[in-house]
Amino acid sequence: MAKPDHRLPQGGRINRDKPLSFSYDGAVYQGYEGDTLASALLANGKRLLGRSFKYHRPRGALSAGVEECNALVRLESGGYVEPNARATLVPLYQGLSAKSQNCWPSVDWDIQAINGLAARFLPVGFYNKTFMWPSWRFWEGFVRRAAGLGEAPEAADAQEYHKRHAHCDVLVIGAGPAGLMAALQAAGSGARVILADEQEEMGGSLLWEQDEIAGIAAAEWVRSALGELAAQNNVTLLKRCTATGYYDHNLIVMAERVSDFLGPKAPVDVPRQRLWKVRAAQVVLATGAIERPLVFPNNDRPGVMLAAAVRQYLNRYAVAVGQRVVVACNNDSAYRTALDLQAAGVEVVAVVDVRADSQGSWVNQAKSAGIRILNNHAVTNTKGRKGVTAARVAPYSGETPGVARWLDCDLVAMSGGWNPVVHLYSQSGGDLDYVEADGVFVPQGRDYIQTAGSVNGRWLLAECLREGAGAGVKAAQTAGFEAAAPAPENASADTLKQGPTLPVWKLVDESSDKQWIDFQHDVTLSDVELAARENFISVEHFKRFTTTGMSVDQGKTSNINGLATLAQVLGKAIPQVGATKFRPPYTPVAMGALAGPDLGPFYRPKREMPCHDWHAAQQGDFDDAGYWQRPSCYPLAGETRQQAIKREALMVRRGVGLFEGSPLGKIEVRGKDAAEFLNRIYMNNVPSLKQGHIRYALALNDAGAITDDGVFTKLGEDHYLLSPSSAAAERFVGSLEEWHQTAWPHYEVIISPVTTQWATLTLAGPKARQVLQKLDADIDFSKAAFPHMAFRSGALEGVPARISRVSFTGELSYEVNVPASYAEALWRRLLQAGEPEGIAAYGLEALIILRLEKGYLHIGADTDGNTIPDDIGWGAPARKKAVDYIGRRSLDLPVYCQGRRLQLVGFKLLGGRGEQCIEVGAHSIESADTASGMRSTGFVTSSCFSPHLNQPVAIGRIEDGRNRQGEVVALYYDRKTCRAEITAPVFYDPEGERLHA
Amino acid sequence: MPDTVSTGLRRTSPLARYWQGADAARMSAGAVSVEELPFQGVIRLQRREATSAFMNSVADILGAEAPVDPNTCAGESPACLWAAPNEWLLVTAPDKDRALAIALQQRLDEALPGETVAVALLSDARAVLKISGAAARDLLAKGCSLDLDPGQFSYGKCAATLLEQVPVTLYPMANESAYCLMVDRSYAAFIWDWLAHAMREFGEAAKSPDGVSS
Repeated sequence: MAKPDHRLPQGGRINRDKPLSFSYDGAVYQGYEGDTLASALLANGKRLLGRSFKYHRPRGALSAGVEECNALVRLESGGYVEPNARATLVPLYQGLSAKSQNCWPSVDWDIQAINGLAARFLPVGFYNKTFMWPSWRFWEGFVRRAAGLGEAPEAADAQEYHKRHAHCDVLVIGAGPAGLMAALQAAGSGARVILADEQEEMGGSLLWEQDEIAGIAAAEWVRSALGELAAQNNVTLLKRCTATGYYDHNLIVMAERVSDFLGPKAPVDVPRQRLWKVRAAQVVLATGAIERPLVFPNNDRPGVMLAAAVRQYLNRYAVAVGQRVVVACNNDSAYRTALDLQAAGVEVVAVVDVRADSQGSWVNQAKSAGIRILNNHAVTNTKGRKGVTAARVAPYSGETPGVARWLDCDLVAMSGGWNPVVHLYSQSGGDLDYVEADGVFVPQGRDYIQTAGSVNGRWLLAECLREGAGAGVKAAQTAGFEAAAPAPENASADTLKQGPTLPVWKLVDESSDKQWIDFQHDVTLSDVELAARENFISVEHFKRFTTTGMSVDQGKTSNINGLATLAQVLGKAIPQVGATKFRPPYTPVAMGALAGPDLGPFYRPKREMPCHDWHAAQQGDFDDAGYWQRPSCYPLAGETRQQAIKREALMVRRGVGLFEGSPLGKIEVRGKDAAEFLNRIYMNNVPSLKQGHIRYALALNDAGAITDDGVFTKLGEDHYLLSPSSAAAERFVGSLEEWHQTAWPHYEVIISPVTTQWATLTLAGPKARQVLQKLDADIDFSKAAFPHMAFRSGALEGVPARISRVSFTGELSYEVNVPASYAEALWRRLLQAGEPEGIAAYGLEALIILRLEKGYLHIGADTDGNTIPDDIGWGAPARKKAVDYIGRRSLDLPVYCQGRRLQLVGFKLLGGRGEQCIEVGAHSIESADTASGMRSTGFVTSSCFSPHLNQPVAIGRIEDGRNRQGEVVALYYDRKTCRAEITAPVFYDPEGERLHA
Repeated sequence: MPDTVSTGLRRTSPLARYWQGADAARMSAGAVSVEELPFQGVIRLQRREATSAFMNSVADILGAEAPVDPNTCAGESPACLWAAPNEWLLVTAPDKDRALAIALQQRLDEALPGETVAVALLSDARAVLKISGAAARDLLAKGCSLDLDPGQFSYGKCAATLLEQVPVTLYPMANESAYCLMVDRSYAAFIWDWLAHAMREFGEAAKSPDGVSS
């Protein structure tokens, strides 16, 4: 085990009593509880942590947080893999296993680093221009292998992800100084507060800056503030929870890493992550700021790090990343790094400041501490193959005397100023203002969002605390709570002063392809200049051409440097170029978290029929019919599906079968205007139907097209029962309500859907009556008393029953409806009663054959949105009906009255093909030999092999079909042609004798 | 229609596969439990216009006024839930539904001659679940986007909403941290399975020394 040599003997927020071992690229290291993977690796002297996207340049951690663009690793293996994990965000746990990415054979010796030598030939747009011949597709495989980040996991995710909705009055995002103050103030008002923070611990910069608040150390103050918040039951604290998306009406999506910190050893019943959907009356964004890199040649070497990150590693993790440090800056905050390093015993070689001077507190402290300060100077290059060994320092402006020289060092801590984290604010639709002095974009302000702290460009602690408190009060008040004005916190930082920042965008005048702007996507200064030369001058085009800000880090360190450089090259002011619009997510979200538990059995809801358990026990297949689970067939032992379907179909033709049709729509319509209302809904005549009788009916839309067919029953005076098809059951209720409420609100009608109250058990076949007559019933089932298309209600085995003599098979058939809870018992009773008749259940597949033999339509399969009643042989009643109804006026449109319309016909296959049926979708053509002959004149819509007729049968729609019966046509499908005779669309019992049996 | 059903046929719950003998389906994990209230009576009452004559007649029959404010409910047995404009759901004890439905239809037809009133039995179309315990709200919040905070959704309120894409009717029960959830019979098993999966994280097995389930 390598001995940690960069760990300080004391300090930091790590738990030295809990050492943890972990592995990186196979080697075992040690860290402590409280470390991140990055801090533990740096403590072990491991600084080369990744290879860049395109040139495979050696890279180390640039940051200590969410903005990390270099230190990407692949975590764990098998079902626990996470690619592109930012080592700076991975909490260390015992046994953690990580691997480097985008390198081969290893991160230390990466063969594709040779790309770096060719960098000048691989600028932006290189792919688009070079790989045009023979095609980009040809090259894509090679390029994808050479360039890239992590690989997608191969195994299924072994862990679970859950979702959670939440509501609050005030959502505070970010638990640094401003966020904590906002939460304290809002919570005090009694408002429901959620405080969310993306880090492992709440406190933000207070966890590692050497600040004091109200006379106590900042970290202590954080602890007491969190204690105070946790004690209030109107407060929810969510650490490890990143707000990633800001949507309309203050809907915030947040990803909580519930058990990531336990790794694969997390308990199985605990989700790995949880996606929160929070609806907040008011939102306080206290999202802080991210330090900006400086742009100079070779600013991407391992050992060039953001100054605040150096400070954070030092103070939070007790890791001295380097031993001899050059601090490069344009602002005061980097002087804190120099001060803290010196206090920890690390050599500060020099602070290299582009500014002439500053009278800020930290600058003055550095001066008194004897730290060497080179004003008017800039770092202009670095040396060192796999880590910085020296930094070149040169006068920044021409007026400064002095010459360039190399300073030996092993770490360059840079600060180019700070970028406020305005991402969520921008996602909310908010516009940004540019503050010239600091070179930053800040929120303009919106009425449902408060922003506080450094997201507003406030750099001093006292300002952040004050602004946070004010935002908390304002948010609570706006949400309708009484909140008192805050008492000012006594921050020791209140006496601090800061000198002005000098925004700089490049430190050397020469152009070079080694000045990195986007580290992760390998976009350099010269790439920006090239983009400008090629006229990509809109910031959104520029982003997409160069891919600046489009990688895992989403440009957290590169966006502003990129657009500012573009502005400089174009000779424009930065606000004229503007910032790109930020879009969700703020940071990458695991696909698993987005999917949540909605996978496998929970992918979408399932509906079960009342006899589901019986069907399931038969080991049959269930088909998805909408949400319904419907049995397709019931194979007996040793039977194939095809054999089962054939047996079931023949059973219904010859004996009797039992079918569950419970999803069939059932809608009661009541009221003195019910008949008149329904007469407008249906194409068929409604008032002429007598009580206790049933009528087939078509429903059209206002364009005249058939939307559904079904039956309706007259239950009593002003009382009807409609039975739309199963698929239309719910849609039809909506349609009835819509027409009633919008077109005919004066009708005295009540619409009452009862579909699932009644189970529908259908007995079909010539022996159906015999079976029914064996049951105890107060209904006369005889042919004379209960004819076809009649309805009876009564008691069957003592259970209230509604029985319709309708048929979708062409056989004698009873639809027996009973309250659903009695269905399974009645189902078993019917099977028992029918045993002597050889009864068995039949499924959807047999039903489809039976209805097709009879030529019964399936609306939506045999018709489409252009089919009118005349096309299926209902033209005369449609036109003759005296009363206006939905769709009637459209039937007179020329398009429906002229030309050779597609009309419903049957097809009888000529020439033997055994049991193979005509393909659904086959088109009728003149001839396959000529292009004009290939014109389609119609097509097959349903087809099967009829076991009863022992021949293939099909129906379809063909031009002028009714006048062409007897004609032979060629049916073309997938380069093959067969011949079929056009027939009437009914193959079985055309006289309907069996129906009326 | 007779007041009661007298049959040799046994009633089957849509959650029958989760029954233990004669005991209806139930499950719990830590601070939350879910139980089926089998065969509850459910009646839908609809009127085109809620005239005062109608409202008075309903109050006479039910012994309590039907609520007129959206998303509120009143009474215990039967509970009367506002479901839509001029539409209510009555929830009764098992086997009390038919007699009540018949009484409603007959007495309203008598009291309001020539007007249309629809009384529909939905007892077999609905499954009713009771979700209770300290974590009941947390469990529901995993699939329901309503604000279930007692300050917003207390006893006396009700809502038609979605739970994991499935339409449900939800209302807090009296004097307990419990909710009554009504779902279409056909979705009952799906919702039960979903709840069983969703509640696992509240159970003992999910508790670890690191307290992640807290």
